[in-house]
Amino acid sequence: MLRYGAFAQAALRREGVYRVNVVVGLLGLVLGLYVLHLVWTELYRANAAVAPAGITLPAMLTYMVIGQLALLVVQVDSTPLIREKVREGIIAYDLLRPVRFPLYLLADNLGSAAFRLLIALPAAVLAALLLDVQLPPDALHVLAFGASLGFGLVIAFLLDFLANLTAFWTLETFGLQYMLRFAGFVLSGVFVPLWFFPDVWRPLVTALPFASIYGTPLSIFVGRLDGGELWSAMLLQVTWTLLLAGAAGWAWSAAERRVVVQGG
Amino acid sequence: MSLIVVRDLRKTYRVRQATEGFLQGLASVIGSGTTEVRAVDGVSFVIEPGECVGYLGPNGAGKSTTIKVLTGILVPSGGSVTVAGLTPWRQRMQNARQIGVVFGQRTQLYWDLPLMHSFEMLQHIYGIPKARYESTLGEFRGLFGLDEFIRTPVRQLSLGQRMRGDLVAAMLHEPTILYLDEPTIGLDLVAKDQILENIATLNRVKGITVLLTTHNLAEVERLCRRIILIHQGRILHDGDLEAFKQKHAPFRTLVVHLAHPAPPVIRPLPGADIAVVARDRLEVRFPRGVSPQNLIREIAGTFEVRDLAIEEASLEGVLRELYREPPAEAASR
Amino acid sequence: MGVECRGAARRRSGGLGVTLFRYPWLFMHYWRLSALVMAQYPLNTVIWLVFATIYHLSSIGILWAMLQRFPVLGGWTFPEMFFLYALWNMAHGLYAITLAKVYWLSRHVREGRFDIFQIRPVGALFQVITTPEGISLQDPLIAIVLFVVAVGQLHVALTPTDFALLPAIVVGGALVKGGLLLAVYALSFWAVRMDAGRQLLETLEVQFVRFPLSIYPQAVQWFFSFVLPFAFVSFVPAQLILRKDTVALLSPQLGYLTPAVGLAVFAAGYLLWRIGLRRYESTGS
Repeated sequence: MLRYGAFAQAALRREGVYRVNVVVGLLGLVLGLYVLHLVWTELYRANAAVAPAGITLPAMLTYMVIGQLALLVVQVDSTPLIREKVREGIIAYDLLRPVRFPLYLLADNLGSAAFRLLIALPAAVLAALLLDVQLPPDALHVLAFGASLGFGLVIAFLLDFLANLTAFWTLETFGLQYMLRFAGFVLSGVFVPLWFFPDVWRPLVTALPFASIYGTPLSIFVGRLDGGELWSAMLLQVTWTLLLAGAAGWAWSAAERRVVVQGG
Repeated sequence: MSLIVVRDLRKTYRVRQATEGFLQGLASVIGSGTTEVRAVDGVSFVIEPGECVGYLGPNGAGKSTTIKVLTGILVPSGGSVTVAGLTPWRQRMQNARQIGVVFGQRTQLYWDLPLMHSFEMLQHIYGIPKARYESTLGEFRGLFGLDEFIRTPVRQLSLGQRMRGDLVAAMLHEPTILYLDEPTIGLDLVAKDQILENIATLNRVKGITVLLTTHNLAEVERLCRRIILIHQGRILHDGDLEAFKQKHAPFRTLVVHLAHPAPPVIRPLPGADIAVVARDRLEVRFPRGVSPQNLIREIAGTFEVRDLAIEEASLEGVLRELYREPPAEAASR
Repeated sequence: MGVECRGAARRRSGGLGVTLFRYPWLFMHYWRLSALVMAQYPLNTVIWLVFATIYHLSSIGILWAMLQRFPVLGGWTFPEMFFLYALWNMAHGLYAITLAKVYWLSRHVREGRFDIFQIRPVGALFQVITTPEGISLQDPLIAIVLFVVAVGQLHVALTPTDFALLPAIVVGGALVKGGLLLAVYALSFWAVRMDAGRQLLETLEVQFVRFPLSIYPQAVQWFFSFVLPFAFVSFVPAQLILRKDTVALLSPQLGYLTPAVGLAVFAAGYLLWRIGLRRYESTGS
């Protein structure tokens, strides 16, 4: 267990080295928040006649800010660790190490996420003060939010991992993991809450794993999900986690076998 | 009329600290903190058409800087340069048509594309008429044996193949002058041999004027009769290679590996300097013109010899010799 | 052979007429070469197409979802915003296959390739932007498809005049983007590593260009119109074509000026480039 902790730590330190990237990333975050703030405020203002589906502007703004911060923290990317290594033929070294590769990846991603969390927290505090962010209704919601976001992170990781595993069969599927990420931008409700979607689409979109990455935790945060709905949403998250973990485990052994046969 | 005329060329660099990052870079544009480096300090020489000149010097002597000025990449701090009547840095594009350049450490070929495509691109860049291009390329394909790898992506070529590719790329537009900046760096012996042979062909058969920079004396010997030796920005010697070797590298060394450790006292041999370099190794320095036959007989008669080798003078060794006296005196000789 | 070659070389170095023909011709050859490279990796090309499609769908999807319950943003409806996005993409598509490679300048200088560019009888900048590696010829194609769809779903029809203006607008937009990138990268000659600068530029563009300029405060509108004229890449000409007047600062008629603005920005960038080049030539690094 300690070994994996070390990997996470290394990832944390590595992210910090690229100071310029961090600054630019932070700037992007701030600008993005600013723009979205203007957009939602304007949307509510210009369409005051339309009933905004039972969520006030302050709640919507909260959703947006927390959403962007969650986006920053949860972004998983195992591409350099899997795909690049397969491409360069050095993945074999990782398989020789006495660690379970998928867990190592997870630890690495958690480390990166932790680093981004360190940046996101002060940004969140700043946003809370400047942008009139509403806090969750009670402690239960706070805890549920934390847990839910954790599940979201794991689900995102598993999707990215599965997409990257295709590298063991063909390097030409570059971008698959990014395609999933972009699909996630729309379908997870991180930019636009799922309850704004037309009724026709909502059940389908809610069932997809993307909604369980951002949609569920964010809805919990703004108090939109309560009681029975909250638990069933989290249950869906758990279901997806187990499903994807199973798929990942199976795919991973297939990949390992392939490396042995092909010789890295 | 001389082809390349260099008169009192001078180039001074202002070296500032390397900057990293956008903000620091911005600051460096305003700030300063520099030192002056005289890369080339009053260099003059003349090269006639058809010559093959070796431009020698240790690293940092000013060779690359000279080449950069001659090719028009760099603007000098002082002096004048004329290449076939043009000033390279002022008439850069015109000059580009009459020169070919091969940089040993960087390639001008396109990395991901088959070699063929690099040539094609160059054909269009130089505006070579199709018929002319085909005949030139055909000639080089035969001369340099390109056919076996002309369709291979450049990144998959061996270093030797890539250098040959670069050589052809430089010659496609039939320039009259060929500059080579350390072309054999990193090549194994066989590949080195081949490239030198190719360059020799270009010079002797096709009459291309060649200026070759290197810090390897042996290479130059193979190709050029004339060498220009540059050190710390100044020319130390400009003339016949043989004469140079006679004057500055008048010795060769016989390296003897003994079967048993050398005795503490060795009888001196006539006309040779013996130095005991290690317990069982002797280095015997003897004059260049002399045959080592007698020496070997003497030594074999005196010691039990395990192995023998003859070493040529190295550029470093020559420079060390030269620096027994101050450079100014050496240059005026 | 020597004397004859020299004469021929002088003749071929020609004047402006030769230049005007040669550069477009070389461009076409560059595209052909790039297509060849792409053809070597067919699966990759297809994947990239799918990837780009999903990317666009997701960007548009977000806009669509936003405007489901709130039909108007800053005076713009979803069909109009779709058009805005598509117009921006047209300019970007042209930029991607022409000027975008400017950001390779850092890399070329670092790897010493820039010297090699200078020993050829063709402009160094031109050679930087025609590096036949890593080009995506699909971008303009996708942009055209997007544009056709966007025009189709508009509630107003475009007049023939609008279509006639389109090439000039797209070229102008590409020139603005290219010119700004060139200005940033001309600084490479002093500071070498300008990637952060490019990221900054891209971040600004991507964040603010997604939505109509009308939702921003005046200061921001001013900034993106006169300092970093990204507004002229899509917003201003879109206002002209859609006959909208939502920003007090910019009248729709300014849309006619798009090509001029593009040329001006590019000229400024090019000037900085020449200055940088001269500095490079005298310091050699």
